[in-house]
Amino acid sequence: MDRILGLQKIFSKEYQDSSLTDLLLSLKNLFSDKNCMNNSSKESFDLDIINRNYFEEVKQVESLPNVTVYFGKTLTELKFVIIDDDGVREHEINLKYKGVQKYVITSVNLPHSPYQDKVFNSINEILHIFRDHVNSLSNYFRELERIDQFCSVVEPLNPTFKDDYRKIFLDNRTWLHVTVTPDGTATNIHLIGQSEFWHDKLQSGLLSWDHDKDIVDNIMIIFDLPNVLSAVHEGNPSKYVSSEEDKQMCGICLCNELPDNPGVPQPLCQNTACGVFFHRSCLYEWLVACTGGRPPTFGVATGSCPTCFHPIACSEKED
Amino acid sequence: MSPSERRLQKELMSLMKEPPPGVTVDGDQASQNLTLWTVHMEGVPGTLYEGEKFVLQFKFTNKYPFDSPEVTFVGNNIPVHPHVYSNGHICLSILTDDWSPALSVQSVCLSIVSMLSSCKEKKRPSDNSFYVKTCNKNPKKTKWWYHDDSV
Repeated sequence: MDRILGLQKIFSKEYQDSSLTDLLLSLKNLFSDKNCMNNSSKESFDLDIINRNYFEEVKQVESLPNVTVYFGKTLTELKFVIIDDDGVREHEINLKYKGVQKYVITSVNLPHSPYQDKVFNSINEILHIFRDHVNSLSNYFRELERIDQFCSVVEPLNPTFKDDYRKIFLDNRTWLHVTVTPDGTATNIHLIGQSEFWHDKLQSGLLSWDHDKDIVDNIMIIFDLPNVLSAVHEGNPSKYVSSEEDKQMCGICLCNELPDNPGVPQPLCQNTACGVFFHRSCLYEWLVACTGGRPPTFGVATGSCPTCFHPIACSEKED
Repeated sequence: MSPSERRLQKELMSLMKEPPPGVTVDGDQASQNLTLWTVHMEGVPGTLYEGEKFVLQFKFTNKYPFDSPEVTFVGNNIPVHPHVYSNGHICLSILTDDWSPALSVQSVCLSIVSMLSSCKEKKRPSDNSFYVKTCNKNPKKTKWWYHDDSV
């Protein structure tokens, strides 16, 4: 009962204007109060875990620049988000407090993390190592960022730094797979899909790979995409990126996937020069809307392509 | 998030990242209310509107992009142009009859920039005073008679 009153007091007073660490300390004091102690082993276990030094350490880390601290589901789980020396990227590290001066890294949003599941003495030590690790990967990050910026990446679906490979769109039946090593060089470069045209280009291109240039530039040169390359150098990727992306995303909803529809965008316009993709449901909805919302006879809506205005017909369901 | 919100979100991001020259979108306002955008537009150098600043307002319904946005000039500087009424309404076919979901805020902005830029003489539409007195507040309710394509 006392404890409930104590809790109410803490939350009404301190929760509003004190930091999280202060709040936790007051909670800890409340629970370690002699009167409240009973023989429940579970509680004494909790009290051991929430140790003052632990909070002091957390507090200290919290005051560092470029680090943000989050608590997980329990107070013994911590997440740190640090900003790397380039000043733009955020990296997460999760760790668990296992007892006095015992910390374990549970997960990191990076590949090649050699420190996983090792026991450390202090949070500072972990952060130090993690920061060094992140900074050693700066070429890796830069290469991936440039690939994501200038190429049409189809896999992973939402690429992150945790994924060290990219599957890049070349044409409707051919993709390029590239893996990036921790020091930022390309490896495991191969084509997915059968295409002699791209295959020949890749074979001869790999021989003249220029290690002074970044991966994107090399890919552009290998696949002989001078326009793309110049767009990259002028810092104006919009044309290339949008034209490649437009091809795969629906020209109406501008998305790839629809939340309530398994359909993927397809080139539905009968004009072969048009080539814009649409979700069948989006195009159908538009053609029906053009005719004043009346459902069409035989379930086939007609009208003109939203992009090229070529006459077009579209059925509600897949033929 | 509804399909229309998803699309508006995407358009907003790309417009903020790579705006056409002379065009800026008020991203804070638009991200708070995705159905109402304010776009600032500068007169293109070398045209009659050089040095002038205009404000466009975009209103979207939840049917966007199947339904065209309602686009008007707002603020105290409405461009003097044969297709722009003094209440900010714009006579531009892609905003009503010729709207297509393949168009976007960006392409509408570009059309308006090019409409202004190709103007030879600054004047109001000939039916300006009558129209402004009698029109509906929503320009999309107007049955437009498109003047010509040259300006």
